[in-house]
Amino acid sequence: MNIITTARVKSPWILHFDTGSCNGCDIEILACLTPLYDVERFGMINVGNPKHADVLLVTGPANRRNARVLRNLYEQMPAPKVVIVIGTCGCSGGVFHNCYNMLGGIDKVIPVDVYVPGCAAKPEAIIDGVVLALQRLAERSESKPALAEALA
Amino acid sequence: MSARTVIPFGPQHPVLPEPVQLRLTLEEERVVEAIPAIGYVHRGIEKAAELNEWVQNVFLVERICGICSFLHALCYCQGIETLLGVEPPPRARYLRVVWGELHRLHSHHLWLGLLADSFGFESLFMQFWRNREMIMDLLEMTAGNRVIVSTCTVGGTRRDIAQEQASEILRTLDKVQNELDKLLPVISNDYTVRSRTVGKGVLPKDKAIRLGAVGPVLRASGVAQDVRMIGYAAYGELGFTPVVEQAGDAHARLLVRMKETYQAIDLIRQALAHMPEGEIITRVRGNPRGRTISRVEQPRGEVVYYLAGNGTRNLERLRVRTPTFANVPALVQMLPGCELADVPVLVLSIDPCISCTER
Amino acid sequence: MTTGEQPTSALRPATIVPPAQAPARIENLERIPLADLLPRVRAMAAQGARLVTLTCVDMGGAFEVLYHFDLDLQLQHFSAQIPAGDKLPSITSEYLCAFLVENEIADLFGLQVEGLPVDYHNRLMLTEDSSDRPLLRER
Repeated sequence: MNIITTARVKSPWILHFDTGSCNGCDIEILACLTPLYDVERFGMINVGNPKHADVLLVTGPANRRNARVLRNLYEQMPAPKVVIVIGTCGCSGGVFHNCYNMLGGIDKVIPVDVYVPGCAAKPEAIIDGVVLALQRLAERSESKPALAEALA
Repeated sequence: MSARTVIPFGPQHPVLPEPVQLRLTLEEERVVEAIPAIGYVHRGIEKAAELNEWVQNVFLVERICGICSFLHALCYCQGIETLLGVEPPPRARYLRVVWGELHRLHSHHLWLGLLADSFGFESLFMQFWRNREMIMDLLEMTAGNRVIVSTCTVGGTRRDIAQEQASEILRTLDKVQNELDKLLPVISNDYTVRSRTVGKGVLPKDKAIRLGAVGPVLRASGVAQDVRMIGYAAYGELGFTPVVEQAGDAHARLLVRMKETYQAIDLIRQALAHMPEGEIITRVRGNPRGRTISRVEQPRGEVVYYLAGNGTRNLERLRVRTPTFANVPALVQMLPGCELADVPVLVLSIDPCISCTER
Repeated sequence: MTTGEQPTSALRPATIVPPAQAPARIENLERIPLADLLPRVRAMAAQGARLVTLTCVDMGGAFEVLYHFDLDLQLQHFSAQIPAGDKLPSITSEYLCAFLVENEIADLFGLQVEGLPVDYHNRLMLTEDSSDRPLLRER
């Protein structure tokens, strides 16, 4: 790993967006950031600005209004980037599969790298998902097209 | 007249875990008008509830909101029980109080932390969330899941609380109360907390009623109204007085919720002490007929369900009015006159739950 | 203690109760003609009642709109019927807080509301590409 990749993987910055979940997964993501689970010890920081973020955490299935916001946030994030979906409803629509205002899973809107099922996903599962995504981030960071895109 | 600026607050904003937008019109730093724009998490649950069978809906309504999921299920099940003409066994009614109050306890901890975060009191935020994990462990121990416990069902509860689980709950509650005792002086007297909340977003009593405010927002304006007073589940048999504050500002709302954590601990202790032995579920047959209104006090206030059944497996109509939906008009009236930097504190002071609001 | 152990009493055989004989009804429900709506709402406001919410029900060709009020934890309901295509008078002159729920009804049922202070033009909950008037019953 070159030094940039090492730095990226050791301190990924996270952006969280809720696209219509019940809040259950959102509070579990917050629980990850607080003293018991404390992912900040791994250098993960929750940021509000998409241009600072490496990892996008999405909870909930996409609805018609926020699909546009989600796409917008995703496009503003600099490459290389990874997307993690937290919760069953974000993976496939889940319990909301027959709601009229829903598009289904997040992968109908933006490409997804890691799926973390669970209703609600436990903090341990969320941390696991982020670790998996970091491997993907390392691969992407090393590959030439991604580097070229990042430097362009 | 100075120039006006319109600032879109949200939908993605660091202080909001959920997407909602407020279009704020400002004169210099002062807010003169706020218009809410919602619909970012609208799913269409009321329609889906007509498509599902009424038994399946228990799992759907739990997911209207993950923070007060048990209380949504409770409200729905009480409504269906009225339509079917069924009474849950006494032990189930006490169990419902225990889980309901555990939810209130964890929800208030969550909110107290988030409010501290909204005015930059990071260590207080972390303290509340550290203590909250003790309550989450209790939920996991009794139900097998941390957030969506799914223990309430039509006719009673799906799980029981065994004797040793009850003693573990009591032991943990002592620890939680001990920690709360350390934080209460901070909430009531600390300079930072007071300077950011006292006198902010004042909602007078008559206005609070007229704007349809519910829950801690209403009680912080001096109205002693709590749906638990009508005595659903086992509340009628337990000693209970609503927490009321008179000031009507953000600090009063903070105090109401802080004192309600003590009240919740007290109610769980009472419910465990007086819990009768016996069955936990009345099995039911038939389909709901007629219509009814069901109300439950959630951490954020009164939730109202309108249920109509026609004797088939599908409900004719399910309407849900959640507490935040009722508190948004009050928020819109609180904001004009405040400074832009106080907007996050005031938005949080109604404890907004957007996924509830939009369903 | 192990997590999530299933206590035994949940497995006991349960009693079976026959279904209720008469369908359940809402207490304190009063049917009123649409013309009486605003005076009655004004009277409730004068008593200091809190507007709980509005509920709209599609009756096929007509809508039933229920107005729920709370006075010291006692509920009082008014029910008004309105033919499809007619406009519902807004009660925001008495209860400003009704603007959200009235917009929602306009959104989800396509029932037009007259005199809204803030009109979202059927786009409170829905967007341009959402299904139109989703809560109408399929006929």
